[in-house]
Amino acid sequence: MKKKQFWELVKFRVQCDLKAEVDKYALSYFWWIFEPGLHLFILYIVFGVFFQGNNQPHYIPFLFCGIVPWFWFNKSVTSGMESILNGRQIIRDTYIPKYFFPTVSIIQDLVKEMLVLLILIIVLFISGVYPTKMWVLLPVILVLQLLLIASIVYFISIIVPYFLDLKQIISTLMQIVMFGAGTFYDFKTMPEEYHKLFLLNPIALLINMYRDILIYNNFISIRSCVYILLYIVLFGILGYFAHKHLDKEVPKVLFR
Amino acid sequence: MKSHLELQSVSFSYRTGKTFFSKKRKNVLKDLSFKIYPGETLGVIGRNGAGKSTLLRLLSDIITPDEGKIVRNCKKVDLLSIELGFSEQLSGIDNVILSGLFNGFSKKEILSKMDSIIEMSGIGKAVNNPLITFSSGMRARLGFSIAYHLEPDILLIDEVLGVGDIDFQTKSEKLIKEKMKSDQTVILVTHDPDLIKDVCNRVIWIEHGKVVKIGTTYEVVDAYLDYMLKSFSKNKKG
Repeated sequence: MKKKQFWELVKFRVQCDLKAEVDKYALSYFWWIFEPGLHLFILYIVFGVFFQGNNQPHYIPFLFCGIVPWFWFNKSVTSGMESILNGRQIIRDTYIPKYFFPTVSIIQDLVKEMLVLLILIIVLFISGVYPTKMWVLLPVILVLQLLLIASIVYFISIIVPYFLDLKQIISTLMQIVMFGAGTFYDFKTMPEEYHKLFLLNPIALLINMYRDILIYNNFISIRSCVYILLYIVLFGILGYFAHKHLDKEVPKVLFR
Repeated sequence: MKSHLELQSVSFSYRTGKTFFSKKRKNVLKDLSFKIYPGETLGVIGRNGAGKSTLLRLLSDIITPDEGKIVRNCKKVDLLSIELGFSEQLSGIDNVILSGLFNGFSKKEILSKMDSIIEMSGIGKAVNNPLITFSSGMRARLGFSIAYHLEPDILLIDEVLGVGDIDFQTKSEKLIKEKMKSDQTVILVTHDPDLIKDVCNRVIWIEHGKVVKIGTTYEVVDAYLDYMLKSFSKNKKG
């Protein structure tokens, strides 16, 4: 398959899948906003109203800056990891590079994320957080997160068919990553000796960066960027070799 | 004559264990060697589980052999796959495009064949409706019409010829038979000796993953039928 054809197929498939998803429900496109919107609302009630946000100033923007990137990561990884597995009907009948499936999955979640990002910005405005010069750095963080998602999803999506238990392991791991990412609390309020643990978690680093530029008008931490880039390179290399070696091997386990 | 495809002592086995590290394997094909020439229709005959479908997947490059080599002198080797990549929520038209793209054609090529595909399927205006509203017969008609319009260098066909209701079954079977008798290079996998006698120039008989006999159609099919008859009466006695 030529490069041009490959991207033509990716583009058409993404359009089709988004359209298909929308046509299924009476409220169509609104679900893309409602679904994360409802989650955000519940979290707001629990942590913002009941717990009074630990008396932290700007708690609502703080919470949303944690939850929105987390949702994106969680959704992309959990749907992306099964993409090759779910593509087995097609894989059985024709040759297609296996990275096609995670590519489509990642782009779909990216499109939906853009809408949720819009909610985030509206919420920031409502809460009295206005754009500063630092907001220009937002695309840098978005690209970093996209690359992190892509490198992880490319790698695990081709490993999952060999090792179905990985789906369960990753679901559990995602819980740990969420609670350890400081989505609804600031990890700097934890005892100092645990800070290093948080810094091992790329999502915690990302969330910190979102908060730094969007709320606190701080420059992004270069050290965090380097850490995240290390994760990206590590998973990127693993994913590259996994796809290179397993591209025509994985069909054998998909229809044994 | 230069061959389109050449198998050189190809062997293949499936992994059967549950994990990545499991060494358990099931042998499917052993030491297969043959050539496919342009324009011919090659029949592959053999009992269930002989490895025929696996062979087609190796030929269409979905999987690679464990041992041996497949030499390719042509570009596209495609399985005739009805309803490839079909998606329930999409319209018939979108499914035609999607299916065509999965089959390695550009959007432009597919759109140029769209009218002819819709006409052959006999679905008419319903093609604009979501696939989920189609009857299974309509789906099969549309799927067949797409598959029929694709022209790979080598067309691989696994068993099924006629699809849909009786009318369309006759029509589609006739169309495919015409295609096989034309210049199109075809590899046909089937249990049906009569069909093979009708359309094939050469036949390979595979049993337990090994080639038993290769040769002209009548020679191989007769030997196969002879063998089947013997094993049938042996079973009856036992």
